[in-house]
Amino acid sequence: MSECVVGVVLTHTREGFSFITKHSFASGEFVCYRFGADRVLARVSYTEPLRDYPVEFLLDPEVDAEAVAVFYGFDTNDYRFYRVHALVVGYFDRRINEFINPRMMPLSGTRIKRVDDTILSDVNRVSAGEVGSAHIGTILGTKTDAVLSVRELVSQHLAIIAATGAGKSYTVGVIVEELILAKNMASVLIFDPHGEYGVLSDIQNDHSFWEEDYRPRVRIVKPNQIKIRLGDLTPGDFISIIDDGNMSEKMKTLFVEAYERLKKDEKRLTQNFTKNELRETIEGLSDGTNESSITGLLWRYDRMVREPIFDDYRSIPLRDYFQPGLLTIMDVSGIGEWKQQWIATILLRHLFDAREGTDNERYSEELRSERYLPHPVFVILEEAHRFAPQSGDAKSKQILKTILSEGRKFGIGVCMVTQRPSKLDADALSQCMTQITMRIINPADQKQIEQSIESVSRDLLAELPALTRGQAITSGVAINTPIIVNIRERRTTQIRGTSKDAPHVWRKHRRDKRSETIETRPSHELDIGV
Amino acid sequence: MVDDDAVFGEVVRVDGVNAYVVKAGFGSSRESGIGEFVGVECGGSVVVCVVTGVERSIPEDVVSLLSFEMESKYLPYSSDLGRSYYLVFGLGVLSRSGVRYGVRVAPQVRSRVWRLEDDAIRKFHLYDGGVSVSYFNRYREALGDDVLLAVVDELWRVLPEAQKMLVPVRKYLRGGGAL
Repeated sequence: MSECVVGVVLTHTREGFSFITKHSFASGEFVCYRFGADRVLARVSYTEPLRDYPVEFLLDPEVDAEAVAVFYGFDTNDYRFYRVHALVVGYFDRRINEFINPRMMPLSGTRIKRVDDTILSDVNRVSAGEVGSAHIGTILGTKTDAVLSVRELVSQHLAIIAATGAGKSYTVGVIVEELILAKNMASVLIFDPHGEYGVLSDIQNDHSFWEEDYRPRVRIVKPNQIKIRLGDLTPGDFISIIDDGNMSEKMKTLFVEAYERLKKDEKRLTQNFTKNELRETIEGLSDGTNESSITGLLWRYDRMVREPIFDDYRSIPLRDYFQPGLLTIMDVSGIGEWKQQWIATILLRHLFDAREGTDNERYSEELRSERYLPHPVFVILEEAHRFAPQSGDAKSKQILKTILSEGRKFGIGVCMVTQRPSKLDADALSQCMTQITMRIINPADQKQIEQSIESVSRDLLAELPALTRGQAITSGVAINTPIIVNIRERRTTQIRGTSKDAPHVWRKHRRDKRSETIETRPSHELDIGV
Repeated sequence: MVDDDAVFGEVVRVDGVNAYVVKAGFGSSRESGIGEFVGVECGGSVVVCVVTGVERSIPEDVVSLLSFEMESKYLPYSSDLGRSYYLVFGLGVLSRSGVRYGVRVAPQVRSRVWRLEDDAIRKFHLYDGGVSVSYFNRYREALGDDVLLAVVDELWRVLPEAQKMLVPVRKYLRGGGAL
């Protein structure tokens, strides 16, 4: 694409400048101008017509306004110009690999040019196809690739925010595809509350993901395979599960005592314990004065351990779930929300411990090998607002916030996916240093994004309700400047989160039913051809 | 060119390439109103003008004080008080070669002035293959909205095919940008 003049600067303000052009520009598109030897990139924030026809010319839809204008003597060419407002991004300094704002606005008369691929590709920290890149689509209005730096993406966390139907799951699919390609060979886990990511299993049979001897693998963990080992729970965990609101302080004290006694029992060979062992220990605390408390405690404990998710031995096998080139999909659909929170809590707690312990050499192949995890990992949390809600409490919130603030040191990246950012903890959201934000209509959600995402300017956020399906504002550390991206087509099948064509399904269902029904009529209406 | 009977006056003063004062003759059958179209001879062409005003308020005592030499300077105010002096504005030129909006050459003093026939008015407005009043935009400031509204009334009658277009133009001139 050659560099061509498309307009001339009219004036500038403290915030930006405006130029006159006959070309139409969409918000978020880029232009550039010369500043000494440098070319300064600027982003279009909004466009308005330079001149409007008189309102009186527009009142009768039967009469063409342009024809009236010609009749009256206006030069209709004057009405084909736009005044385009733009914000300066800066010129790219290759020494520091960043855009530098010149802090001087272009003067009136400065010629504005359409950007070419060379300058536009500077918005990417990495090039498409290179190791550590994620090609997610093209920059709005161009054919230039939008490429995220995987290194920044997974170490400093990612947020994918979109209203339902805006293409959120689709985008997650694109990110996963990029991560799992041979150029990245990532270790990814998707926490899937709706069971919608199973289609990504296509990845392992899709030759486009293969390279030399590299074959990515996909592991789908079904709800009945997910277990929480009782011994992994802390006394606080137990109490918050079994407390139905009527648990007395005495019961809680007795429980903690039983738990501690069991853990400190030197006759036992491991730190783990079974349901029965803990039950027997609680019973053993009976001294003739606390019968009713013990009975109440046991009743609540039994109710908890009857849940099949709690197991004596089986837990979340981290080393099976996290391996380079492996995508693990934890399908937690059909599991109650509080249990999903517990699963997430235990998973994230183990993960943090494993990565921290491995980095600090507490774990190795020889020493507690089940916790030895010698590579970074990336966890995608769908419906993230359930796990770190803005108001109310969720057991998973604390460990999630710990990982978001400290996970970078230990190579744990989190991708929080939500359609209700206003319900997601603001601190948690602000810790995600790369953001892919798609169409959001709800004003409360827009406000939360504005408050939590510093890297995106207000003019871009104003575009949120107007984004079409598959368009996303991409911002943060994985890219040099915020851009609007047309998300690329997926290699794998469409994820099931699409809307159903209800009228079509109803009609088909009805037709199928009718063909199955034997029609009965009065005998005189039946011509049996005899 | 034009029948002598149709002539209703002559140019007695030229204030600029577009603005002239026309002294109506005694034989003029009726008063002209603003917005009416008149033609002024100018070489072999006709300057199509619109009447923009009329002058009659010439104090007699001032007239009597003027010397003969000063009459030419203060024309038309030095002569017949019973007559009307029309202010006309040249919009364009109608010639054998066609229509041109805008006037580059002013007519001479004593040039004949006559009321334009409907056919000539139509010809002047059927410009460049379509109906046009494009001089409205060009001369809006010089003519003022009241004169242009009077022109619209005149055209409403003469150019019925342009009525659909004249409706928004009239509304625009009346509103003065109020909408």
